[in-house]
Amino acid sequence: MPPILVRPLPTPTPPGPVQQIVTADLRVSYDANDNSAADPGEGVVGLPVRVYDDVTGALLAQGFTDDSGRAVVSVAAAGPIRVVVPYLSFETTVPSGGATIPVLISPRDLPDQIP
Amino acid sequence: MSQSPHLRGSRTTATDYGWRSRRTDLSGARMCGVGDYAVLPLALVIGCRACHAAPTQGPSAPVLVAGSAGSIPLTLTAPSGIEIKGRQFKVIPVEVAKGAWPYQRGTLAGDKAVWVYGTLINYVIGLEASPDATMLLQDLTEADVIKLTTYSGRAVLFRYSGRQWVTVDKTDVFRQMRPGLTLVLLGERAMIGWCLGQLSGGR
Repeated sequence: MPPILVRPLPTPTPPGPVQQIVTADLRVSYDANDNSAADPGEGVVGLPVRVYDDVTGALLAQGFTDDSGRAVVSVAAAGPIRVVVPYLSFETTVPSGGATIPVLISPRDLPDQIP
Repeated sequence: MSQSPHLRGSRTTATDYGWRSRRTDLSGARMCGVGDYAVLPLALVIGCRACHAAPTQGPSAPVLVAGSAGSIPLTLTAPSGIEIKGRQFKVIPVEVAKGAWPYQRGTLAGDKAVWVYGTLINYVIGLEASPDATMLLQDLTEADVIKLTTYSGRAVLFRYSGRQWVTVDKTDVFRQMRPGLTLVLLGERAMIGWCLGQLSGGR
């Protein structure tokens, strides 16, 4: 059986934009003790998180914050990505090099009795 | 940022009237600690502000959520209305001070609800415990979607997930650690907390 020969096309397909892995480390916390810091036990659990290509608008990934309020997302993208927390109307752009995204929710006085 | 010390509100003791009949009326509810709340001192808020009074920091206050991209205008997340089984309620913010939820029975019209200012993760919304409102909440099923609308017009949808009787001092239902909606019947001797899971965050 003769070998199969693969010949490159005379006009090769131009390469697309170079993609790289972009990592976003989101942490959403409710600052229950009002110390302006995200402490253990203050993470907001189960918030939906979506990641979009900031150039094309394509949805790249989605998920939820974990038990510590974190959502770490690594996606292949040609440029910056956009991280959205729809529930909070929060969104931010993450550059190709990745970023940590802290979100802190200020506490308010909560009822200690049901009226 | 500063937070007021979490002091107990004014308390008094009420007579034990009628709670058994309410138990019967709401027999479908899952009851927790019924025996406990029957002997607890009952809490009433006295000398409180009217629910319609403007909070000292209302929706015009700019920041409750801040992140690396800056702060989020409260108008995007603060509720202005809620729709339950097709019934619309205008939502009025009330600010809790020193743990006291300002409310006086009979001051909240049937088409109004109150939102505990600052509850943006687990929205806490109170309805006066009229027969209509009680029936409305009692009739909720897992098929029902509750729509909360923010001042910016954004809709956040929730689906009913359950209800429970709680004692009036059981405040962990107000914790802000998971997205959800807690509806509270106001003016009952015990609260029915209707905890709902978020269906959609909207866009």
